[in-house]
Amino acid sequence: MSGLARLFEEQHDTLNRYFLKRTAHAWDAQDLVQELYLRLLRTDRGSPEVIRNPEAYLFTVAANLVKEHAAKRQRNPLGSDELDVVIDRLATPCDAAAGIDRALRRQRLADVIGRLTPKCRAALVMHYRDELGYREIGERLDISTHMVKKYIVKALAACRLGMARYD
Amino acid sequence: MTEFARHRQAAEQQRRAAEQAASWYLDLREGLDEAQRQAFADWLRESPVHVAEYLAMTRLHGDMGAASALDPLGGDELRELARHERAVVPLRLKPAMAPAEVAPRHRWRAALAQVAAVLMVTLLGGGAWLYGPPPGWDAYASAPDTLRSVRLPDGTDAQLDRASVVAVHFDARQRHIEIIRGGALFDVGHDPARPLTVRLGANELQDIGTVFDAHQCADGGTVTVISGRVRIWQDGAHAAAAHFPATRSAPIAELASGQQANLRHDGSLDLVDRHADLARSTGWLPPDIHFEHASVAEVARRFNAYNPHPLVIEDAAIAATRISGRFHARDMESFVAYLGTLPGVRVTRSQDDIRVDSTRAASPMPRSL
Repeated sequence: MSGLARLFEEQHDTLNRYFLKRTAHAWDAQDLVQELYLRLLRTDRGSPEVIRNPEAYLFTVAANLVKEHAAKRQRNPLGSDELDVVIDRLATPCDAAAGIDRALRRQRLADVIGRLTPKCRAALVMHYRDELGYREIGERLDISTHMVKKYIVKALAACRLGMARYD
Repeated sequence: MTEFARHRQAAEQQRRAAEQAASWYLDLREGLDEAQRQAFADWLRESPVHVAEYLAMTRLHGDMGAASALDPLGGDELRELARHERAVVPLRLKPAMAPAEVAPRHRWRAALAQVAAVLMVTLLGGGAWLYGPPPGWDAYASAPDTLRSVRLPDGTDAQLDRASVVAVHFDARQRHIEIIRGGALFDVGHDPARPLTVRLGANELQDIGTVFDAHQCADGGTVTVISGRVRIWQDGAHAAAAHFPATRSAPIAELASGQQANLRHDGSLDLVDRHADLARSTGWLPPDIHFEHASVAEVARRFNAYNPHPLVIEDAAIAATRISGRFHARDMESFVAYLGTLPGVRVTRSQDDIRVDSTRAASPMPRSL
């Protein structure tokens, strides 16, 4: 196999692992996302409940799907509607693992943050740890408010992709 | 579309979806008007990937406060780091040349930079400060958990290992680099008028057009030559205090490509390995080479830092071609194969090197149409 072909294969593996693993935990989160997406499509684009708060609508449908799924598997339905639980469940196989998983995840996320480019890292940490607004961060870093948001967006995306590698 | 391009496109789409999800997430925290809410709902309906990314962003967000609280750097240090993003944490302990008119704001900043420099060095270990660079030197440091690459003013590329500090002093006649802590790989810019020397403990290394690695270690130091040659000198009796030994006898060793010397604390030669395990000695280097819009010549140089079998780009037009991508650093073959897929590129292998030139140059006469 040529070097290039090998490179493709390796990268494809990584990519596939990423797409599969991210969603292929015990809860069949990929199915859940598909189903969630289909329900979004089936809902009237201009329906008042969507327009009023699209995010809440998304989470409500997601939570309902998770409950339906649990019922179908004849497990105890989730005792809580809390979105944290639902969303954690998307990637965590069982409750017992969730606590350990969370600590490890945060440590890994901290490592990813440490590897961000300095401006992204500064903007992100100032925002989430020091709880500064865009304007204050902009003053400290001597950049525009618009750029602050851009750096935070880039940083969040980099964290997201960096964490996906661990999945 | 080639498979390579397809892969890059998929990765690019993934990144874009993640950035859009992040952007929406932040916007939603600030509140949306009705048109924006509709736009967000439409974006979600565009693709299941958007739905998945948005959920992932929500989860990430839940960890962000706790994770960012683990960042060891304080606000001022983060600010300093950000201010020097391009310069890679230069610890400019003393401005080399203060401009005649310095705005008060800048003076304040310079003071801040010095405070930050002290903080950084303290973070890296109190010892580094005590043995800090003499005045007129610039220092570059890497954080304890990250590698840093820095382009020095003469074009020399230095790749710093974790928790390393190097000091640099260039003038019209000489180039001096001192390894204060840790180690680094140097890809030395060619400048025959200004010889380059690297101080490592009680040794001075004289470079002769080279890529080499110099590291401090518990027993003294190690020097590994990837390509070119390096001469190693031991300090004289009085040299320990001085940075430029006035007199020298003969070098204690001269290393060629693939060779490694272990040095003791007093600068004497412990042993020379004529067939060093290069992969092991450079194992600390980043595992992949990532470049954006870089010239083929630059990328080739970076590969050559890992590989004693050099890649030579003969054609100026190919050398100047700009490319982007990510390759495994120890798999130069992938990069060579990639170059081979570019139009008009010919790859010729010999025992000593891999040459890349243009097929157009092969025709002896300009072809008339």
